[in-house]
Amino acid sequence: MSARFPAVRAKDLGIKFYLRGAENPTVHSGMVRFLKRKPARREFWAVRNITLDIPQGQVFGIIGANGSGKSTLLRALARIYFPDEGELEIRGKISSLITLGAGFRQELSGMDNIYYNGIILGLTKQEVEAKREQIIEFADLGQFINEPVRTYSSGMRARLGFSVAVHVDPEILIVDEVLVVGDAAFRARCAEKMRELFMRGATVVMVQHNMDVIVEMCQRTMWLDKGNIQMVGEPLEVVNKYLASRNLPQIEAKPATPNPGVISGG
Amino acid sequence: MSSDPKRKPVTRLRARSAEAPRALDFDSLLVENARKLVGFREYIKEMWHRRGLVRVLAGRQLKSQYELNVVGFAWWLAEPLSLAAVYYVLVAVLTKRQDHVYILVVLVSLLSFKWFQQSVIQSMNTVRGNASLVTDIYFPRALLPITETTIGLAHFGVGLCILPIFMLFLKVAPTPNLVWLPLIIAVQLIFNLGAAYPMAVWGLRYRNLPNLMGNIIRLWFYLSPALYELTRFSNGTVKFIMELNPLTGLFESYRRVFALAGFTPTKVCPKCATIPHYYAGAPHPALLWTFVLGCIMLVVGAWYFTRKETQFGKEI
Repeated sequence: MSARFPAVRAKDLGIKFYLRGAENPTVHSGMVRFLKRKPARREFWAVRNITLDIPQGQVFGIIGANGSGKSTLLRALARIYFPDEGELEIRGKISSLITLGAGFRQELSGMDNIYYNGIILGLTKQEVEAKREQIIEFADLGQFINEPVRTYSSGMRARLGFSVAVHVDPEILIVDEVLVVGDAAFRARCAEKMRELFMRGATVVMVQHNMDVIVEMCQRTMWLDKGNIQMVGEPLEVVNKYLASRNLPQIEAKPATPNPGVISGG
Repeated sequence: MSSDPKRKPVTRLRARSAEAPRALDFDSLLVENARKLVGFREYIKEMWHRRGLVRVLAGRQLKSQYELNVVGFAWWLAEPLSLAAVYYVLVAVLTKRQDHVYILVVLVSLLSFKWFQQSVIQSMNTVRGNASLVTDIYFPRALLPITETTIGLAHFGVGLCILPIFMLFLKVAPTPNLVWLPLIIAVQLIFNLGAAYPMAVWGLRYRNLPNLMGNIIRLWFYLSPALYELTRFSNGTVKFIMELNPLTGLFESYRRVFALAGFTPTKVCPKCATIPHYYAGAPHPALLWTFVLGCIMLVVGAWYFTRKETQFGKEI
């Protein structure tokens, strides 16, 4: 671990979108627009001026109201959105848990999807073979593992998705608010797996709406407001400032337990 | 190191990334505005690094389309075979053309055309079709058109396998010119990819483009010497214009190496199907033009694609 090379370093990062109204661009839409004399599109900066260092091994939380740019920032860190402004440096193998089961093929069995998704997420064929049993055991779908994914409930699909993604052994794990799925037992196992990743020194960037989870698990927290950094610092302090701004009750200091707590929220 | 199956993955601790980035370190990347540092060459290297994805994406799609068994393969052939039958009935039977080798002429160019058509049309839909991947997982998107072209190649390859059956039946002897076949396939691969890259960008941006292109490509097919041979034209100017069509070089070359080009229908009688009055030969010279054009299209198209690719996640 080295302080000289943070896992994630963003400098003046900005991601913009274009607002086109309800118009779907087609081959002839440019002509229609010209005839109607309407402006083509408006810029909208989902996040802007993000300057940020996340050291290796840190659990970093992002909070903020809906539409404040949390998911956009996560997607930028996962290299899905390219910086429209500024720089972004990422050091380490990334795995993103933005949507669980991203890229699952509905017609294929859970077993096949483990294989294909494992490789899409960056494992080699041999690694998938080696981890297959673990993934199946972790997802705990029983006989359904050989059934097509389209027959799964959304909870089952999410379990399989989480199971594949965490077995990629990422150095940087990017987690959107996806851990609220599954029953209590599965959530406990997820928390166990996440702790295992922390112990290995993985960097975790997570978006959470559950403030207790943020205070319990994160070492540092960022409050994002309308695409700008409102505050970065000690989780409890940031969370309470954020809650205060929304006229919500404050959170007590976290209990002094050595282990990060279970992701119990939902 | 990671590929050693004997090591227990449970206990393995992943090596941390090196202190200083290596010369080519995909695990540590500086992503800068307008792809300054992740340049085109680095991008190509990254594509190479993740080339295994093509097989996975293609295999996944084929497996979900057809179960990969003999019956599944048979389904691949149903379309070109039925089309060949239609054209055969239309042209050979209705116009009383009696050389049954004609069905081979049609079949070869149909298979080749289907590959081209599939590469272009499927590439236009590939980014949106893989939306759940593109919006949630990073991988070099330039692998997507390659995947579609590869799927087309698989179909084409299976299609070629039925040619020997027809050739046996129609008593068309294979010639040593068949050694040229891989070269023609390589040229078509380059050309298909060159067309697929820009179309993948525009197909995502303009939602009705795939429909439009479907019609344009069909028209293009009838204007190309697919259902008829180039040797039918005696006018030099017409011939030259026909040869400017990049598909001409492909269709004519496939026919020549399969010994199907250049037979003159007027000489054909019901009994002389066994007489090799058609000639075999090396690929048609127009193939060189297809190759040059394909290379230019591929380099420019792939470069253009990598410039536009950064916005795919937002455009979907």
